[in-house]
This record gives sequence, C-alpha cells and structure tokens, in this order.
Amino acid sequence: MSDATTEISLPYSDVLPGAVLAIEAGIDGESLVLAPSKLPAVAEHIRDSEGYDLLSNVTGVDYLGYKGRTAADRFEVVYHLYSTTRGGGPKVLKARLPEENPALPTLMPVYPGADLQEREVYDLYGIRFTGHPNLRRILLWEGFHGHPMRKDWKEAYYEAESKPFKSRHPDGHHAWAEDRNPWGSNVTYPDGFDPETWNQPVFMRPLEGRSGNGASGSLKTDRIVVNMGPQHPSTHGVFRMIVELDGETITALEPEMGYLHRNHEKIGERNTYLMNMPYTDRLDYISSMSNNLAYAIAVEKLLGEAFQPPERAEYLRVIMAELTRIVNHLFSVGTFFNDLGAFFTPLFYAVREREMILDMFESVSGSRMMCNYMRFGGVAKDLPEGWLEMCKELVFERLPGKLDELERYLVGNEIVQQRCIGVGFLSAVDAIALSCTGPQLRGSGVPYDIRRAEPYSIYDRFDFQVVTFPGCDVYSRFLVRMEEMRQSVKILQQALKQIPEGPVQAAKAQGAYTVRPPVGDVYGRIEAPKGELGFYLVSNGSGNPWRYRVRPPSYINLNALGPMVVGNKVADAVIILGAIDIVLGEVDR
Amino acid sequence: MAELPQGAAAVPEDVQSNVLLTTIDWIYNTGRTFSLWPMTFGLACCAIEFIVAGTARYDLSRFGMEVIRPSPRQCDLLLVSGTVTKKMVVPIVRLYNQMAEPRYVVSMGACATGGGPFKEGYNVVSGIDKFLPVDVYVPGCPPTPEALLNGFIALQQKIKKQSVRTVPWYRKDYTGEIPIPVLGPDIFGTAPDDMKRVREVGLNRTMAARAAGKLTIAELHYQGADEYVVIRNSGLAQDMTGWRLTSGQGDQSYAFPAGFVLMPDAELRVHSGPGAAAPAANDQVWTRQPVWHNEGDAATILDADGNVVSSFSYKGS
Ligand code: SF4
Repeated sequence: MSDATTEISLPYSDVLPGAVLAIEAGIDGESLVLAPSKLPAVAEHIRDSEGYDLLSNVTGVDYLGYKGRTAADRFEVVYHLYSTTRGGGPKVLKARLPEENPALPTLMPVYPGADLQEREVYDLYGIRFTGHPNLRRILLWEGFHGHPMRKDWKEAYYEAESKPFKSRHPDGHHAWAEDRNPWGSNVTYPDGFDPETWNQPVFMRPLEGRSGNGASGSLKTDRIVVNMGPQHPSTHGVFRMIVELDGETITALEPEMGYLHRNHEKIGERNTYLMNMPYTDRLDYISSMSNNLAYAIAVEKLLGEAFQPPERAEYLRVIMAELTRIVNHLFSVGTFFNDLGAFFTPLFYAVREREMILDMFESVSGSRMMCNYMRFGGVAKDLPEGWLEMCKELVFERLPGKLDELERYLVGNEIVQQRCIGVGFLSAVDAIALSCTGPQLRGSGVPYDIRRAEPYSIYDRFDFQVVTFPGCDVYSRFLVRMEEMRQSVKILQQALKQIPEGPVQAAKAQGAYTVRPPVGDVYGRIEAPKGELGFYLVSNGSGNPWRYRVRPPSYINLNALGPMVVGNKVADAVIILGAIDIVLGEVDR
Repeated sequence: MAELPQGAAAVPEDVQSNVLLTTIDWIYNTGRTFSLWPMTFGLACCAIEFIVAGTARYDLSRFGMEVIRPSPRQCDLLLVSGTVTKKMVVPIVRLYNQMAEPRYVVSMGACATGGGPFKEGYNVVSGIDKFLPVDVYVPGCPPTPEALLNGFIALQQKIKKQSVRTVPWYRKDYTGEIPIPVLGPDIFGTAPDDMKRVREVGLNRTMAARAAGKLTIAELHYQGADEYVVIRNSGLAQDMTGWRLTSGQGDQSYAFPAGFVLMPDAELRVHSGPGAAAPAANDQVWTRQPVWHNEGDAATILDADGNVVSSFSYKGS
C-alpha cells in the first residue's frame, strides 16, 4: 500500500493521531496496524464508540524468517474484537513488535478477559504485557527455559528436518528420533544450571484474602490454602485450583493449568494443513466433529471459492455438528450432576443417549470419538447405507422423549435448585467483559450465538432459537444446555428433511492432500458446544501453516472462574467449574 | 474328597463336606483379581472412554473393578489414560508412590504408551514407561471401552499367574518407591545417572563455553595520579597465584598475591602512581610510583608458567 493512500484514509486520526500506522487488506477484511503504545486507547475508543465489546481472540505470531519481515517487526500480536449486540465480522487490530525485548501495554483495563490469553502469549512467545497484574507462565512451569512457540526455539526430538521420514527405515532398519537426538541433549539449560542445587521456583501468586483479618471488629481467623487437583475427581481432568479459605468460604482462587499442554499449536505448524485435521479431534475430545468443522471453515476461507463445499456436504456438516452439540451437552450435564453429588446416576442416563449418537458417528467415520470426518471442501465420505433412516429414528422418535425424561428428572428437582440457583453469579456485563462465550454467556442472558450473529455454513436456513436464561448462575447455564439440546434436535429435524443428494466434496478438493493456500491470515470461527471455537491461520504459501492458533472457548471462559467463585463455599467451587464445562484437551492444548 | 497328603491333620467327619482345599496362591490371586480398585484419574481423551467403560453399556463392574476411588491410598490400579506431559508426570509418580502394594499400572492409549500423536511435543513424555513399571498396554487412540476391558482382563490373567512366593513386594529389600522427577529447565529424573546426564548437557556445556573464554586486559588508564589496568575474566574462575602483570617500557613486574581468585565475569584493577588506592575488593595496589609511560607502553599478563595470557599496548598522545 502506498504512503499516499494511508495518509488520507487512516481511521481515528482525528481522536487518536498517530495511533493507526496502516490498514492492511486481508481475506477477513481490513485490519488495523497500531502503534503498540496506543493500543489500549484505540481499543477503548473502538469499544465505546463502535460497540465492539467482546475481545474474542489474542494471538501471538512470530514472523522470524517470514518474507518481508525484519527484526524490527518480528513479533505480532493480533486481536479480534466482536460486537455482541450487532453481530457481524471482526475488528482486527495488530501490533508489531521488535525482536529485542518485545513489549506492549496490556489490554486488561479495557477488556479484563485479556488476562489468560495475554499470559499465554507471554508464556509461549516471551512478549511482555506491561501493566498486567499477574504476568506469569501459565501453560509451562516456572523455571522452564525459553519460549517454545518462537520459531528459533528447538525442542528435544525435533523431527521436522527429517520429515517425511525418508530416513526412518534406512536399509530397512528402524531409526528412532530419540536415538538421533538423545534425550535432553538439545535442551538448552541456562548458564550455570546445576541439577543438584536446583529448587523449582514457587509459582503461586500470594493470595489476598478479603475477610477474617480482624479488621472492622470481625473475628480474626486464620485462612488456609487448599490445593484442588491436578488429580481431583471434580476438575474434569488435570486442572488445578489453589483456593484460599476463610472457614468454608473461598476468599481467593488461583487456577493452574498446563498439565495437559501437549503442544498442539507447535505441532500444528509442522504438519500440513490436512494433517492437522485429526489433531483438532483431540482438542475438545468430547465434540470432535465441531472442531473439525471450525478448522475446515477457517482453511476454506483461506483457500477461497473453489473449496466451498457442495450442498450435501454442508447439510452433513450441520447434522454432525448438531449431533455433537447434543453429545457434548449430555456429557456436560451428566458430569455436572456428578459434581453436585448425584454421583453417576444422571451420567448413566446421559451416556446412554450419547452412546446412540456415538454409534452413528462410528458408522460414518470409523471412530467413536476421534471422528476426523471433515475435509477441506466437504466431508471425507458419504453416509453408509441406512444411516439417514437410523438418524431420523433417533432424532424424531427417541431423542425428544429422552430429553423430556432427563428434564423431568433433573430440572425441577428441589435439591438441584437449592444447590444451584444464585451460585456462581456472573452478570451479563462481566460475562462480556471477561470474553465469555457459549452457554456461559447465554446463561447470563446475552443472546449471542455465532450461528445467528455471523452465520457460517448454512445455519441461516434453519429455524431455531438462541437460548438464553437470565439467572446468571450455574442453574441458568445448566438450563441453557438442556434447552440447546432441544434446539439442536429442531435443527436436525429440518436438516434431515432437507438434505439433498449429490457429491460430498468440492470437485477441486477431491484428492487434494497437500493444499497450499495463498499468502495471508484468516480467522474462522463457529459456535462450538462450549462457546466460540476459532482458528487463526497464517499462511506463507507453503503446505504448512506458518501459525496455527486455536481459540479455545473453555480456556477463555475460565477467565470468569475467579470472579465467580470468590465468596462462595468451597463445595460450590466444584459446581461452578463444572458449569463452565471445561475440557482440558482444549484448555491446555 | 481327595486323599490327604501324608502327615496332614485329619478333618473331622462332620465338617468334611464344608471344607475346600486350595493353594494360597489361588485364593490370594482370586481375591486380588476380582477386586481391583482403579483410581479416579483422567488424563486426556482416553479418560472419557474409561468413564464410559464404567457406565451401563460396558459395565466394568462385571469384572469386579467398579469401585473407583479418588484417593491413591485406597487404590491398586493406576490407569494412565492419556497424554503424559512433563508437567504432569511429577504428580503421577507421586500418586503411584502413594498407592499401597500390590499395585498395577495400565497404560491406556497411544499417548501413555509412547507419546502417541503428540510424541514430538516439547512438553510431552513419550510414554509413561519411561518412569513407571507398566503391566498392560492397551493400544488405540482412544482404545474403545471393549479394548480397555480386554486390557483389564489381560491384567487379571497376569495377576492370576503370580505367586506369593515370588512377587517382589514381599521381599525384604523391596521399597518400590520411584524417584520423583524434577521440573527444571526441562524434566529430569533424580536417579544418579539422570543427574549426571543433566549435568553433562547443562552444566558441562556451560562450563565448556566458559572455558573457551579467558582473562583479558580490557582497559589501561595511564594518565593522572591514579593509573590503573582493568582485567576482566570471561572464562572460568581463575586462581592467580604466581601470575604476573608486566610493563613493556619500564620492564616492571607485579606479582598477584598468592591464593587470589578472579571469579567468572569479575573485574580487577591494578592501581599504580602517587594516588593509587584500592577502593573495591578486587582492586590491587602495585606501587606508589607511576608505571605506565604517557607516550606509549604495553601491558602483558603472564600465567604461573610464564605464558602470555593477554597483552595490551597503546600509543600515547
Ligand atoms: S491416545 Fe489418542 S485418545 Fe488417548 S490421550 Fe492420546 S490422543 Fe487422546
């Protein structure tokens, strides 16, 4: 872009002169390149005057060695802002940072929901967010050396140089990466590191209590710090909460994660685009079809028109995604009741229906859980014979009744209501500010559903309601899930009636194993069962993504965990966490 | 009823039909086989299939192992159900140590067995068997509940073949404790050879880089009442006993005090001239006479054997 045009048309030059450095045209529309120091001011202005109130995604990118980039703009932090009231596409802000000591001001005063995402960028890229109140490592541990998502960070067992594995079987002999790269030999240890005198730094922020300190005449009590997890039946995996208690009341909470950080994004940069498809299954492993869909949509945006799926494939995608939503909500409701203390019985009912759907998945994709069914430009293969009839029977005959049954058992239950109503309060304003999405946001009465706000695939054809409940508590979130299952059934019924015959993959996409999208970056997102699932991809024109970022809904929903839990009883922390519905595969990636 | 062995106590007539004779091994193994208590412990995707294996369709309780306890003290089966990360392996080993003997480990899925799809990851341990003894491996990604049940049955068969006389946990010298790995810049075990390896790759490499560095004369201030030479150490700590600093023009020589050690990255100044003083701990006073000629001179450091370590020359104004 020539300087002449940027001179004339730079936005916000009247209120914030010098803040916007350039406008970049991209596949997603325009993005604004900002002066890093002006970022909070611009964000605040955009939020207040244009209504972009939801900070959806914060991505760090390392452009070391990327064509056209130098050490002066090696790092980039990308922000995607959306409007919960208007819907529509994103406002994309970018800040470019130099190689030497990259830092920019935190967005937390404007969007408190930037908290966890900024910490992640700091952890993986070493980009500092000045003013962030708790800038510590989040996925890796304190004491880890280096920032692994940087392009020049090399790991043990690094195999990319020898891929595809020509050398794995030289002369018919097996070779292991471990042998070429003995354990630990390519780990960089900091100067003077001595294992015998090493003490791992303690990485807990000192928790500040709010009561019981003897002030204003109250009784002086001791507070105790209790550690829940990473092995704890209520944390739904390897999640850890460190809570400080005053009696039974929680005065502070510090989440600790990364126990399942399996380097999804780093591996994703090494894989070809298609190789990432099965990996997405393992993000939120309860709802793999939705993950497939989100990734396929993002890559198709990058690939352009020729890869738009044909009609039948679109219907298949919607059918699978909605079945997945039912699967996910059933499981989440079931485990939620585990957390409440109704140990396993509701889960048994929920899992029974889930198994029916998993059987359908298995017959179409070959796997119960890790479906790997979607492809760019369509789906992997057409339905087996008789599948539609089976599915129709399930959706028209069985599921509505079973959902009624579940509702009869659970929703009106007095104990459940007593336990849930008013617990884990999160106001609509806070929910938006903390970047919550999905049932957590709608349980606070905000009618924001991407299927409506920015319809993707063919969701604009279906008649369904965006479910909200105004209670702002765990009970509302539970009700949202129950009701969303009905809406999914409704969508399924329409889709099953309308589905046409035809091909299931775009002609050009068939057999295209290694796609090479044009240079550019793109953000594709869907309404996954847990919230907004997005993929931010940067392509440099080669067969591997330059950057492969997952916007994990349950990770970002955890922003609200602390605010919701503090002030509640310790037993309620368990159900508040359960109502967020986290899956660690996605939280930690 | 079978013949009693010679010398066995006779069983009274009236209870004969109520007595069963068997081996200790059989009764011991049967008891353990059908009351395995797995731990509530889900790592990743595979854990979901484990939960499902406990529900009505697959019904784990048919095999006598439905008592799933969250406390390791009450469990004898550790099911490693998913990707083991470096951050998580520390608690896993600790949990294993907390379980009472006899205890068994089942590695469920590709990840727990060998790293699975995430093997190359920087935070992934490629297989729990690098840290814990595994009894049964269940392949799959994830293994179906049926496969998991099959794995459990394989474990039961394994238990049935054990004998009280040979199992390790009744031996006198047996502790069964696994050393808990440590999270440093990377993960490492605490076994002596692990420590040695880490020291080799870490400390020694650092040392090697340091050893390539050396002592140099960094600056020479030859003007004023207090003239001084700045010597900097970019190598290892250096004992300077017997080392000397010499001047080229006047051929004077200064011997460093015996036992003086210059630490890595430290600086030392050797002062001379009428105003010479030693303000810092490392500073030395050579003489109250001026040493360095204003019109040009050269300084040299010699080690104890008289080899030149570093030299520095200047042309005066
Ligand atoms: S083996 Fe597969 S299913 Fe199991 S934890 Fe690993 S990735 Fe998940």
